[in-house]
Amino acid sequence: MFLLSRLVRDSGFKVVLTGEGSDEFLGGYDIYKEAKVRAFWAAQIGSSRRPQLLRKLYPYMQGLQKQSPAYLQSFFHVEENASSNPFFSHVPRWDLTSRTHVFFSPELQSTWTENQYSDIRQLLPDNFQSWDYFSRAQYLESAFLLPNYLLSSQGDRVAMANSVEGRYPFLDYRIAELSFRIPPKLKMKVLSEKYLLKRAFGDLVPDAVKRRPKQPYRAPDAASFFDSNGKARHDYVSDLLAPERLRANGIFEPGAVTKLVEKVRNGRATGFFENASLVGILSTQILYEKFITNLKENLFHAADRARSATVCH
Amino acid sequence: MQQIEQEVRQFVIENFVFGNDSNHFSNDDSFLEKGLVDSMGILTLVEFVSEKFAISVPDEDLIPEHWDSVARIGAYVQSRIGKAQTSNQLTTAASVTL
Repeated sequence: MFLLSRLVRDSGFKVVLTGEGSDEFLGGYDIYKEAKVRAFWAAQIGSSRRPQLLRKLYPYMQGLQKQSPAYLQSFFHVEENASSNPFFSHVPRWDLTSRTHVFFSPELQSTWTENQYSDIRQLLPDNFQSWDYFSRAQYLESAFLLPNYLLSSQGDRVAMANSVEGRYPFLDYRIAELSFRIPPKLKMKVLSEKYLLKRAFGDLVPDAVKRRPKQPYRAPDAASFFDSNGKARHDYVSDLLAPERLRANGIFEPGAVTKLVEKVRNGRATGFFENASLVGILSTQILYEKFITNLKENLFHAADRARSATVCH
Repeated sequence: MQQIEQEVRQFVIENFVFGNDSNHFSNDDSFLEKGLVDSMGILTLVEFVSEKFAISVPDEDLIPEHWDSVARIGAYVQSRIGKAQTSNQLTTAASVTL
């Protein structure tokens, strides 16, 4: 996004219209499809055909293609009444991500609670549990991922870094309110995402755009930081992942992280888990050193730090 | 058998908990219940085991009954090695007859 906004700026544009919110409000995301497929399979667990839909949903995930139904059922939490879980749609991903706790230091691990979802439970509307799983999934995406993550880290900050201003028609409150009154089955008809939106405005969009399969925005994770010879592409990467720096910040267990880095260097870190872990660890190390260890140094320019505090009056 | 379990256990500790065996799983603990493996993890495990013990693993054997704990893998490998030897002997016997 940072590179894209630079290209936009270099092409002479200062303002862009962008579609943030349409996936959240109008049924665009794969995670909604996934939830639908899982619920469909759970309604007839013995089915041999229903699991096939999961493989079809993620053709680019090699690991899934060869899995037996028994394993798919376990990875995707397909069980009777599973959709009554308030976080039904997001549980497979959250579960996978929570495995990263093997990299935490013993001190941090000791603060780990069994009921890891209690914080988010307190932020939900009172009648949340009475909604259908599709609406619940939409809420989780719209309330917790859209505002601080997508709009900020992945949107405004990187666009503004190149002085490009994004404008978001789908975030107009009237569009948002209308979309929450539309029944889920019209947003996603069977597995056709953004169905109603496409029906309503399809004639304004080229067919090639309308028909193309949805491609999630995925950056190459580990490969962005290590080349094919296993060498770190930047010095800061190997510095931040060095055992003494990990130990000094106290969040991660140096031994475990070193094993992960080794795996990445050897090109054996092929799964989502290893890639997500590496990026998570690296980002946390940067945040920690910028905003905790060296906050003062990073907050002010050297010249400002030298000035007397009295200028604040 | 113990040797097989030991090798598998070592692999799981190195690759799935990255040496951080503070929760100390037993040979009978389910990888799925302990959240130790994901879909790529299973495939890595199968690759390791089939190379290490020189066995072939048919797709239909990729089920938790065979792969979901150190002990289960031990038993499965044992049975496959047994099969491989039997079929080798049969092949030898057959070629002798020929």
